[in-house]
Amino acid sequence: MHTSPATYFWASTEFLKKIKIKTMGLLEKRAVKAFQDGSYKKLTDEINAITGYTIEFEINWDSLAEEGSADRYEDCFTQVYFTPLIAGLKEIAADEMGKEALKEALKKVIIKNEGGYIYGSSAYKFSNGVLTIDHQPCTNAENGLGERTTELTAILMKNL
Amino acid sequence: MNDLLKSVPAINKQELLFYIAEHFPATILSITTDAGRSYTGVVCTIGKVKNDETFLVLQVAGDRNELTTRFLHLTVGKIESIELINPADLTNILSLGKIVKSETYESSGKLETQRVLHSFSEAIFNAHAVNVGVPTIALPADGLKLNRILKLTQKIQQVIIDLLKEEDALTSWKARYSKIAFINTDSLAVKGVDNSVEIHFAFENIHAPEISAEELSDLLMSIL
Repeated sequence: MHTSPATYFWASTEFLKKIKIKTMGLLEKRAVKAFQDGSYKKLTDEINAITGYTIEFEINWDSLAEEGSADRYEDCFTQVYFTPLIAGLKEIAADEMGKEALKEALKKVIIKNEGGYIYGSSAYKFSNGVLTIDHQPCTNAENGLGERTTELTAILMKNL
Repeated sequence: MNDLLKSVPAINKQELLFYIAEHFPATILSITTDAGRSYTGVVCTIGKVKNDETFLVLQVAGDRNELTTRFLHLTVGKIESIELINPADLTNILSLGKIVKSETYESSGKLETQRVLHSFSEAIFNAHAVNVGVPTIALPADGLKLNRILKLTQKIQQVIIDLLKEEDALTSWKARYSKIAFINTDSLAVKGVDNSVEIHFAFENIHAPEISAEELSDLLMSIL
């Protein structure tokens, strides 16, 4: 069957949307790099200090780089992904029993924005030692902090 | 509930009324006397008098089960039948507390359960300055079973705290035991083995009835 150029173009765009391939603009690239070089390292160092061992992080930066929000990445990435995690880990690792349980159970954290979730109740999954955080990067950042902390601590506690 | 009711032992009216008055005083009863008259209300008091007759005072309820200022005083021997109206926990009442309905469980983790096991020991020490030890138990992987163990631990903790309020029980426990173990079996049993108290119960069976505080307390007393 012959496919016209217009039809082919439409199919390609739909395909790209479906697999969620995003291309970061220069502003987004700079903001992500600034976060990676600054706060990200500090935050992961803080997490490793709390737990007493090194947790592997796998971050899908492309999915986090929301268009038009580059100036908010610093605050939003921290509040959405890291502050609840730090609070939950602090609570759990408050005693040696908690630290040991964490070391045994939590090996890796995956951070991404693929499901379009904006609440902690649907953003967290834990399976085979991997905590997956799938949340929109700049929605509900400050308002949802308490709910995310509660949900994240609960899901960790259930799996330790 | 029907299966549970099948295992309820036979009890007489007096035992039933004493138990309701003590544990479920808000239960509305419809009492029919041997003269054929019926009264609905809640038990105010029940007690024995010198000639061994048992008397009951019932606060009479109106048509909508609202309590009135009318009171009925009669001997239990004159009661022909007792109807329980919407009781809170029928199995518990009819078994005089020996069978209590199952809890519903949510998922818990091992860490949470271990923390409750540790706080069990701390709470009893804080209440009575006796070191009963952290309960040893093989923890299952299933979250619902862990939640049952967690809840049972809290109930057992309260039973022991209440039991050790008695000076002789406290002295005996201090002298004989420094460890405690929870062992998963089908039915409730308590054993004193060397310096350890062993509580045998269906810790992992989430469909089994809850532990009876009264029965556990009696069994613990028997090894002190």
